[in-house]
Amino acid sequence: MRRLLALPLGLLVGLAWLAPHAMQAADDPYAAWMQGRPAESVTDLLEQASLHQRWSDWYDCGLAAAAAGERGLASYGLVRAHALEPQRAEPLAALRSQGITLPPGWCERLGVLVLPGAGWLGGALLVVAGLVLGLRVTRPLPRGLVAAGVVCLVVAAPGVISTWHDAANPFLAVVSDTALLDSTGAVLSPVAAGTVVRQEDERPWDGRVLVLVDGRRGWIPLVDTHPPGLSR
Amino acid sequence: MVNRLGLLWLLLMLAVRAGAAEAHLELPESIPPEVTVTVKLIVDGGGSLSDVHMPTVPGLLFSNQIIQHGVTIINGDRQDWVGIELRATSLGDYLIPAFAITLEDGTSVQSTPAVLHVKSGDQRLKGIAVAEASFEPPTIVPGQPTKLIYHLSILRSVQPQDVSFGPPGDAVKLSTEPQQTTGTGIDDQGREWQVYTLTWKVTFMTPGEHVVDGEQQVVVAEDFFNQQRQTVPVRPARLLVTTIPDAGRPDDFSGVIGPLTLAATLGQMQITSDQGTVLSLTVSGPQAAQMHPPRWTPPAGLRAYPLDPVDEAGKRTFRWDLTAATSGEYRIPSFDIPFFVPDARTFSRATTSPLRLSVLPGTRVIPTAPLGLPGTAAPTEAPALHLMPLRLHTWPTPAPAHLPWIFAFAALTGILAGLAPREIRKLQAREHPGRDLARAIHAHDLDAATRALARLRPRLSDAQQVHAAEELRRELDLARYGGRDLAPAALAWVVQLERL
Repeated sequence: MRRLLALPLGLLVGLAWLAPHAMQAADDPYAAWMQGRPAESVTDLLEQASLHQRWSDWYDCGLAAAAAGERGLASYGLVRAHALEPQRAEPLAALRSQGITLPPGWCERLGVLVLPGAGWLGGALLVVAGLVLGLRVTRPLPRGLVAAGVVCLVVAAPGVISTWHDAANPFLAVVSDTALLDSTGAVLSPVAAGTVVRQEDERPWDGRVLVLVDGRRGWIPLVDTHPPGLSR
Repeated sequence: MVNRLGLLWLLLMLAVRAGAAEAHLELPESIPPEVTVTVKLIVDGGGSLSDVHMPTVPGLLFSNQIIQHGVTIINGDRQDWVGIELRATSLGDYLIPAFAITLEDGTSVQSTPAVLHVKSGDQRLKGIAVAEASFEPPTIVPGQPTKLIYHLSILRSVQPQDVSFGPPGDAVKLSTEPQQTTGTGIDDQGREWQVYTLTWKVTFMTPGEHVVDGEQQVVVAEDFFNQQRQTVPVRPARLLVTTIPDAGRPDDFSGVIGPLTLAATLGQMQITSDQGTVLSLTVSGPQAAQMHPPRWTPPAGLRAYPLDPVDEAGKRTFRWDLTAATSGEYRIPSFDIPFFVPDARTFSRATTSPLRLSVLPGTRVIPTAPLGLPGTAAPTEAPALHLMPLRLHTWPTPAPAHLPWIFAFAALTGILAGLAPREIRKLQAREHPGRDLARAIHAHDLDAATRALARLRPRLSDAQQVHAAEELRRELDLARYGGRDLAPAALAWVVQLERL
């Protein structure tokens, strides 16, 4: 029986190990960048990031775009990376190097308190806490075990709550030069590609989205907040 | 109107049918003079042949009698053929002009002209099978490719079997599998032979004479029951490998055997500093597939990144990705490779012309002005981007929005896990009459014990168990209806039955 279980488990482990290497062996999207042509890597990195939705891919895509001088795509990639893992300092640092400073989120304010509750560690703590508390509902458990579950929950809570909050950040990157419009469609002011704006309302209206730029509320076309050919 | 349309349709079909039929003579590669051979006249896509009038060709004698005929249908395509005897009076090439063939439906079709080669029969084809080998060319220098060619000629009634022939151990095979071809030949008696040819591309690295021989097994089949296996020796192939002369050998000669040609090209002659282009160097020659990329130094300001070479038949293309750090005019030096010309036994050089690459200023910029976010203090000067890519190949981490769901799922799993053992115990208890029996006996519940014993009966598999069950039932009856206590022996029988 153990051998029967060992075979599929071994296959899964093998596949898990092989998958990233196989990906690496395929056409390397970083090759052109390493040869000093980041602009040629941006498309592949954008495709990779949108396919896998990993913060590190979006981060690299943003850096490549920044190196290629594509401000809009740089901000877009870095904002997406920040949204996927708000507890990471790298996307914010890269945005700062581009002259963009986002208002501090809960993750930034809480500092190291966030770490136990973020990512896989947070997931593991929540699994332990959930199992212990769920078992406690149906049967008596030793006090020490219950206490351990509560501790896991308490330790994970700051990270879970703050990453959840910051992941839903209302920031949008403008990927191409556009203009802030009023509700009639009249131009209020130009908005340069790369500008990061605060989204005031999630619901688009007439293909536009309500944002706050330089303290002014207005609308910008939704298409200017996403790279061409990339779905939301 | 309908009749006219029908007539038109019929005419059209007849025209299509007449146009589709083709006729040609199937001739052997050559025939010897004064030997009568049978050739096939084939009609594709037509009907049965009714009448054939062979043309008059001086020097050729056709018999006007059809000696064979047949029909072949493959995938719905019909072929009608007839056999016609033919004899040539002298050597030479004879043009058989187009001639008319009448089909049974009354239509006629023209044959395509054909050329018949009349040569003396191959004097080497004697007996039933001839095996021979040769090198082409028969003289090489070390490393120069040559072809080891094996010919097996057999009569139609002979079948080839195992062959112990191939490149010797000291030969360097330049192709993994031999190239195979088949053909036909005619001996001086006009008999047709089947010719099998195997060709290996090889080279030798040691000077001297190399002899390759072997044996060929064939089966002569007169009929199904009368078959005879024979061994045919292979006439050996001889190769002379001469040394490359020292006189006139260039210092940078690396053993390349000619002829050799080089061609260098640029993907784009003009790029910007944030673009790249590909430099290709194509070498053509017998040793192209074995060549290594030549060493060269790009001019200052250019960087070259080698790519995988591309192989074609007799060609190999080396490629480099070229990038320029700054704009300007770059001169890519010529490539120059020395090689040895075996026929002339001299050395020569293959060269390319220098290439020019224009690099214009690119648009790559490091942001120098703040991109700006309302309500935040933007730095007065943006630092240069010095961050490196992560290149992480990690599994995606759980999204923050999923973490509460993970907690809820784990809690639900915990609740189910807490409830599960209780239910499982109930299921196990219901399904074990042996334990039910023991539990009932220990609880002095004689009715429950009797019921459990009844459920156990189908599981009794040997006489000992049946005996124990009978004795236990009797003791239970005495206890239930006779007012007696259970005998101690009953507990032993319970232990015996408990595991069932």
